[in-house]
Amino acid sequence: MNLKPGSRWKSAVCAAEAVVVRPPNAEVVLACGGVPMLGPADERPQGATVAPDHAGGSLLGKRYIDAETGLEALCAKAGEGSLSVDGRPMVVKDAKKLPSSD
Amino acid sequence: MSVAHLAPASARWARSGLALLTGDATPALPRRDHAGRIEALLSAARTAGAEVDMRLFGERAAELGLTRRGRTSANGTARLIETADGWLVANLARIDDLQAVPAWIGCGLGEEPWAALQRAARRRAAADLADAGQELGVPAAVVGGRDDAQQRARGEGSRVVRLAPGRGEAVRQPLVIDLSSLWAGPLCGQLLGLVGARVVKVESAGRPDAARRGPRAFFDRLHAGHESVVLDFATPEGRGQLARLIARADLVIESSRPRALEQLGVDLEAAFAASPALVWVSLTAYGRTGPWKNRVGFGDDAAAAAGLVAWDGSGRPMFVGDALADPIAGVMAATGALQALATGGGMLVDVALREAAAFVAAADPIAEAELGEVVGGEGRWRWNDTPLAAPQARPERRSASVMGAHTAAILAEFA
Repeated sequence: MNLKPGSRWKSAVCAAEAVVVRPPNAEVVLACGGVPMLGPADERPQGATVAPDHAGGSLLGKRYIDAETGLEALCAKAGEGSLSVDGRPMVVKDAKKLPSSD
Repeated sequence: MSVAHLAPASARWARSGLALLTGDATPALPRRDHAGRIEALLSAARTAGAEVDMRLFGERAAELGLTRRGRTSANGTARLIETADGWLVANLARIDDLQAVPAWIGCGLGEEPWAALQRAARRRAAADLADAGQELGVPAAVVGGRDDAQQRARGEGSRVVRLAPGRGEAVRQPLVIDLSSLWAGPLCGQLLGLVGARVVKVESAGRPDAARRGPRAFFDRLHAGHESVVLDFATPEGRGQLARLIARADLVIESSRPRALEQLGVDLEAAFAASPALVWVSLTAYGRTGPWKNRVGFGDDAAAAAGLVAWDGSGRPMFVGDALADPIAGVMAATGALQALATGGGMLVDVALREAAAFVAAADPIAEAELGEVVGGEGRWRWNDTPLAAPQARPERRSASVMGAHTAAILAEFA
């Protein structure tokens, strides 16, 4: 998977979409609902479903990170599947720190 | 030439404290009577009962020692950028904003973000860049954008909306729960506190008001005399305490995007159903309705988005004042809040920073004859001849409460 910054991925099993903000430092597979994510032009396979242990959901506007590889992705469309990297669940990054003066 | 001899619009600007915050090496005179519009706002706020004056608009710059920097904002985090079809404003105020630039414009990870953005912008349309930046949560907007989807959705209607019946008499000495941060919302809270409201500032333990990391004197002025409560919004217990405080409030101030409030479990309709005389003051970048309700923006970018910029003689914009949409919105919010309290509540006051700044941007043009008297070449103020007032801060000798000092007492009293 070429997870370059700005690249867009859609879930194979739900409505979720993600945009890569920071790339991983190694070759990894980004998945949603336990199933590898697809490029924007790819067809969603028939019959695939969210795996029960990857069903925590993805929240619109949240940034998700994988500490091991540094991959950071923004959820651009919400979905029932949760994001994972090589099977590791991604975690919500803390809310963006506001500037002290805006 | 002294101020006394200047015609009124330029004399107002010279006295406002904003003239020295506008321009680059030389102060620039905006071609419209923005100071006249600001005076009109102050007059409306006084009629509603607030204690306000012109110092509110420049006092952060006075406190922080900020000055004009042309196409860079006074605080240094926002810039005006030329695109293929007009001007873009971007405010990379947070680390996350700087780190999002490669994903936003497709530049390399190691590139200097501003240089990369300036280069990429020349080949792209301002609105496309703003849309793409906002999708990543970056504060970006078209400078002086016209007829966009948000303006069409919001129209020109009133931003004070009745959501509950209210009560038959004015709400006196209201209990204000202030969930807002930075400048606009806290300024609204401070103005309400000055005229008798009891203001309780409620912060999230995980994400306190970032203005606490800025200059102490500025934070103290906005929060002196207020009680301070800290709750853990990450836990169901903390969110429950927040809900109970909101249920007891006469007035709530918040500056969150609607999506963030929903994720906290805060529901406006339920709050008004439980408290028919509630006043809810919402301060957002573009308004809490419409397709841009979850867009992000701060004082400098929202002002430029509204077209509140000074155009120089070569048709290039410069920032006006320091994060000017913040104090404008704060004064408008306080005015709306006082009017709503006086008429028995039951109202949502939906203040958008961009719309607030647009009111000031839409001032009458300064007459050509008057401009001729005070403007030299390239649209620059002939400031050597004209004394321009420096921005000043209102004096405040009191300190803000220690963070969380009143958590236990307030929870015992209200939650």
